[in-house]
Amino acid sequence: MKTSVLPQGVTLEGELRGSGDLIVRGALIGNVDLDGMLTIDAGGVVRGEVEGPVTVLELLRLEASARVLGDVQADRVSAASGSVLRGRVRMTGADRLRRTVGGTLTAPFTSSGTLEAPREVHAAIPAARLSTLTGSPEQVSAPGPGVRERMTEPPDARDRRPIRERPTDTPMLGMPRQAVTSRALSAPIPATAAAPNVVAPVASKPGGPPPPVVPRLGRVRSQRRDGST
Amino acid sequence: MSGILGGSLVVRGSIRGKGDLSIEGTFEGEIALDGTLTIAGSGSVTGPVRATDVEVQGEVDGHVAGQSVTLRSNARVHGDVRALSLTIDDGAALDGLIEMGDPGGDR
Repeated sequence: MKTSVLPQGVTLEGELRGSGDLIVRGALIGNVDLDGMLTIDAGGVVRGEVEGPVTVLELLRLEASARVLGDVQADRVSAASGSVLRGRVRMTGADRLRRTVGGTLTAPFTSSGTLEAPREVHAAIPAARLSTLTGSPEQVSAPGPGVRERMTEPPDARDRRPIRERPTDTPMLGMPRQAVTSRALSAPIPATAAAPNVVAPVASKPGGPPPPVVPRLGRVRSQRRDGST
Repeated sequence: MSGILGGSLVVRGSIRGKGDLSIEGTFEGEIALDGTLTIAGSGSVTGPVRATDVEVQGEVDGHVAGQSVTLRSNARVHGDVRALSLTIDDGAALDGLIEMGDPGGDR
């Protein structure tokens, strides 16, 4: 279906309904009932009641008389007390222009309260947490799956017996055979599997606690400093 | 940047401002545009229409005014047309008065 555009410099005062997507670059004063995505571009203004999903490229500002019934996606959202917003709100940063799954209203209706969202709020949410909030698996940012891959051992490498029943000479994942000690066996498997992330200077003691790492690093640095001078 | 009101939209109200706009859906109300207004073949406008340039391919029920007004062959206009320069293609239907001259009288 063709996308409608209200261009910059043009003001539409009245009510608009129908299907298809609409991009507002000008001003739309009135109620919108759209069976499609309403996108308010930078500089665009919509003043009135909006029914249907909304995408805002920068700031969604809900003034006191605003009513939005539908899911909202915006870089930033600010809502004045008295405004009404029913729907899922997603504040986007990098994944802008992605279409939200429209329709369902998940939040119970609340008519009061101020929602202020300065730009910093989005930056403060770790990417992985943000992806669980939005619940869209395809939007998990790049580090997420990568970390998961690193944390999960290959299925065939897994010894499914309880740890205490395993023979002590069975090599743990990624560990040299001689490195397996009873201490290493009692350590949680994910921690050992994540060992590649940790700079472990003493490879022969994988189950050891971090403290040896720090002095070792310091010693390396001091050695290098000694060597350069 | 030219604008489009798509064929599935029904709009009631007024449009004014500076820019180009193509109406493919249904519009009821007043249009006053500083730019080119195109009422596409699927478009239908009920109300007075005024723009710098107006091209009607669809249906207008109301007065049409512009510096240049073009009625394409499928145009159906019920209302007066006022223009400095008027083009009517063969097949256009016009039910109203034509006044060629200064369209700025009601500007």
